[in-house]
Amino acid sequence: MRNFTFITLLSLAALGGCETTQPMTATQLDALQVREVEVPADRAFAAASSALFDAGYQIHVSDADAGLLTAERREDPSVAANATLLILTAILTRGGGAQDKPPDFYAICIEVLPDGPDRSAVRIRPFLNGQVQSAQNPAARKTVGELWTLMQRQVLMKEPTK
Amino acid sequence: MIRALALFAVALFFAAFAGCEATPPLTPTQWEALETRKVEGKRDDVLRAASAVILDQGYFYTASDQAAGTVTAAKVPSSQRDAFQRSGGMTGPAMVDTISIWVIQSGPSECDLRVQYRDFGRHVESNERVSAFWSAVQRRMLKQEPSPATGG
Repeated sequence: MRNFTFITLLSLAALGGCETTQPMTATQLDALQVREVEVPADRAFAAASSALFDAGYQIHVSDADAGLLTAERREDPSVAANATLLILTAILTRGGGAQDKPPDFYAICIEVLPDGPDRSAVRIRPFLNGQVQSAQNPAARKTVGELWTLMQRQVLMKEPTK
Repeated sequence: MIRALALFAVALFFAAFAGCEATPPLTPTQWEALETRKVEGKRDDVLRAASAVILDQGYFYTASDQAAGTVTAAKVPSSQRDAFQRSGGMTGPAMVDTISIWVIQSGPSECDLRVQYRDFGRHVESNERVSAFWSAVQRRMLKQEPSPATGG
């Protein structure tokens, strides 16, 4: 009887840990990813392209009329990290399955939407190795923040003198 | 007796094959009907809403042509992640899941939206996924401001 109670309590505790996160709605995603800029869409698109270049991304898709951009950046692991991993896996598998660390591919998708004649909305979505990164992911937030700063700088730089 | 048994076995063998009738592949017209939905709105607005839904679903754009009204996007399944990393990322040959959309103005205030899914290169026959995409586009259309009228 005592064992039964213990197992029941343990199961309930385990279930308590199985909290599932609900997928975000489009509105929630927008709130986290979309920012408004006080420039027309064509200028916002140019600023976004420029920010991607500045951040070291290679542009793969660019459609100015649709306001869509995709860019990718490759990041290779350091030689030291790769050598360490190779040696460790070789030792652990007795030379049978030495593994190296593949490069990481960071990608960014940008959608620029016109929001009136002098305003536009910019949505930045980061990807890591072909899979979308959650908007709450700290690394993704940092990437988006950096791109946003670069983009704002471009918008300010190209502001016509009044 | 042995002959009768042999005949029975042969008959059973053919009967088993008859049960394995494969469903015939869909014709291009059937694919079109399965993948196309009507959306109220101007082509540019529908295309914008559909592009946003593509991002919502976790795909990255791989091709876009606003004039033609087409967008193609891809997503790397978890099982292909290592292959993707080791074969050059987006430019590499790793097998990915793709979505292609095509928006055509079919009336003064109506568009045809065609949505085509391919998982691991295989054309997906899924009415549910197309309908889910279409519903998401409809929701996006309700949210977004219509683009200004063009032309005279």
